[in-house]
Amino acid sequence: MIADPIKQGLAKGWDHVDGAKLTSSQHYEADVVIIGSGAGGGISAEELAKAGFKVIVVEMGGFKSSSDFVMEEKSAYPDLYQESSGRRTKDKAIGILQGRTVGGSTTVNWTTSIRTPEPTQQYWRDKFGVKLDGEDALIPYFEKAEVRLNIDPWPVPPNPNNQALLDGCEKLGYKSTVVSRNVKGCANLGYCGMGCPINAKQSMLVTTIPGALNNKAKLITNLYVQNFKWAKDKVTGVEALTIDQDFQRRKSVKVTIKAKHYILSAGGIGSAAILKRSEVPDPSERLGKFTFLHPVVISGALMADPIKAHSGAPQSIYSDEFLFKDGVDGKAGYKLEVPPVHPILIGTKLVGYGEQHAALMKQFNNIQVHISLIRDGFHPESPGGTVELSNQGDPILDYPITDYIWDGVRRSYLSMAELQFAVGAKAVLPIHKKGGSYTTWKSAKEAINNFPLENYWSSVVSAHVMGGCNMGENSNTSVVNSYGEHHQLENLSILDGSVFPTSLGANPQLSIYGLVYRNVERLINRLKP
Amino acid sequence: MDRRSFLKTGLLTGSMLVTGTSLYGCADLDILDTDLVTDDVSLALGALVPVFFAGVLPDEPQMRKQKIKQVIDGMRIAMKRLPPHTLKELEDLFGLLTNRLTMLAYTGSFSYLNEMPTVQAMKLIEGWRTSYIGLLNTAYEGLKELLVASFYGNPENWTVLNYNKPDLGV
Ligand SMILES: Cc1cc2nc3c(=O)[nH]c(=O)nc-3n(C[C@H](O)[C@H](O)[C@H](O)COP(=O)(O)OP(=O)(O)OC[C@H]3O[C@@H](n4cnc5c(N)ncnc54)[C@H](O)[C@@H]3O)c2cc1C
Ligand code: SF4
Repeated sequence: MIADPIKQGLAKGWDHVDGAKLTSSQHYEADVVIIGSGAGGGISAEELAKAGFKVIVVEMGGFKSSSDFVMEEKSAYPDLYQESSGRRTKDKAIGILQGRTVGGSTTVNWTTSIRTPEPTQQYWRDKFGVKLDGEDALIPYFEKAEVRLNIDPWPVPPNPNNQALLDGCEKLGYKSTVVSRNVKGCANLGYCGMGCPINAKQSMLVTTIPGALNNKAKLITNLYVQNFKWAKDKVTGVEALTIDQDFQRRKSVKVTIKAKHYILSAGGIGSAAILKRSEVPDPSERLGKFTFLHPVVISGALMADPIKAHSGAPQSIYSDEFLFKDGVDGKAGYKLEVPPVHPILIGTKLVGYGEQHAALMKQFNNIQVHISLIRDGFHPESPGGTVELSNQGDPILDYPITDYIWDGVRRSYLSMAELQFAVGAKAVLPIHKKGGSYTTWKSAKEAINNFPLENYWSSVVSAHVMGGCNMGENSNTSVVNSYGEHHQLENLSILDGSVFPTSLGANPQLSIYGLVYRNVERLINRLKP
Repeated sequence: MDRRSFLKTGLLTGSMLVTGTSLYGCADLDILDTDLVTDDVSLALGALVPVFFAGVLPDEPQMRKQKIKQVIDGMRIAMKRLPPHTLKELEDLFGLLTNRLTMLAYTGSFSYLNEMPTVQAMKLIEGWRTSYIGLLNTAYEGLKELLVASFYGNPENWTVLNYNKPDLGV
């Protein structure tokens, strides 16, 4: 039997309230309330609770743990992902994966841990005056996160899916890097995206959230923050609705919370949505805008030997060959990685239906997959998306894909196909509706160069939502300052991935951990009596 | 009404798929209490499952029927957990699928989906998939996502893939 640290903690008396089980409306008070229990919320919660503050963490998802993580997409997607993993941009052209559970996206992420690239930091200094030097430098805070979350280069040989990327890079003379991962005792199973069944992944669920609960924090799950109440330059309270077993909001049972300080860690889309519903002052008119996605396109390849891309650490190699090739603000750069391949994940992406689809699915074990993550936000033609609210207040991201991004898409398909042929792919399948199954690099290249690049023709996805509440030192061009302090509301901090002024050009978690460690340290000093 | 006006009716209903905002609203969440997979919708979906899963459905009629039902049931369960705005869109999509006028517009046949030969249902799906009209594309993608998730999320069907999840020995 695998021990479940969450069940054990609850048995030991952690202060947990399940909103779904509340039968009447409630009011709570604390020193600090943190909305969201993901990368930003988790780090903040542990630090503040350890510093002796009375902390309440609110999470709209449930308190699922390793005993619930049965390595099946069928339950993982509805249980652990926003909108059952079906979230899409307004025009439905981009699918968005985000966590909705204790630990947020860290509970379902793929463990790749990369520090914020220097060119990205320089861009933020230059364009937004973000403070990243001297005592504000992030390096000590990255180190702190790396120690706390056991982040180290993955010492195990890559699985065949990642090996293909490594070999391709070597063949073509491209850069490649071994991924650092936040794991302890990882059995190389490959199911990180469905919640780690053996608690090896050092997500917020098994590290900082237990750390906070062990220091007397209260966690309220299945509770959806609707809005803040505020007056003049201060937030005065939180208004929230409980969520039922099917993740639907219950208007009948409400919760209000009052605190001295409020921390928003609801992530990209989520944090901006709460502020928009609260109608807080927004003189820069940037709230919800400049939301970035690292839009991802996909290339499959049929290999002669089994790849079994569902098995083994999902990401252990990446290539930054094309990331900053044309400078930080030139043509769209992209990062090459591979994803885990599971039945629903690949079944919904493979082109076509019926016999054509079935023929590919039957070769499931021989499918190798590359993904390309496009760096958005560094160019005037890459303004990202805007968070809007549906009539019922649900966030909807309007993210038009510009020609600048489409150009990156085409070059991505080309790079991925070339890499796949370099390692002997029998056929390459760019995930594009016009895409066939190409058996030579020449034919693939010709076809890709003629692909219509428009919505719905290319399958575009994202697992990295960033921005929407960008940081900066000028209140005319930012929502919060470099430390996540809201420019207008004095007792509100935003500590999550929504403060990034652009995308990162790296998988986001370590950037969030580092920045939040730095900013919460400052907040603790500020709040200390 | 001529063929073009039929088409327009279909498109009008369908336009809600894209905006996602047109009909629902106010505070009421009635949609959550409605079973969107009505008998008619079930019949229409029953005609589409063989299109989407040609090549992997069993041939034996009883088993085939059983499998089709299983896919639709799986979809119904998954839908319970979707947000209201998505359910509203699905309601519109199901409206399209059960409307004889839209069928005429998209397949040239004035019959319900379940009365059509599979080739004709296929024509509808292929038309939506390759349409230059965004809402038909999204309708196709939406249907495919729900059906594929229901089918391949079911461990029984993993034999098609020659896949199994690891045994942790617990
Ligand atoms: C499938 C997948 C794979 C990924 N792989 C990697 C990877 O390998 N490496 C990497 O660096 N990054 C990866 N990421 C991204 C990374 O996990 C996120 O960027 C990061 O966790 C974001 O942190 P955050 O604090 O901004 O938001 P999140 O971690 O998403 O946390 C936000 C939390 O707020 C909650 N919330 C939102 N709105 C409300 C509300 N109104 N009321 C109450 N609670 C609310 C959400 O439910 C969620 O739990 C992946 C993401 C996904 C989905
Ligand atoms: S690969 Fe490692 S961290 Fe990921 S689910 Fe498997 S055991 Fe957990």
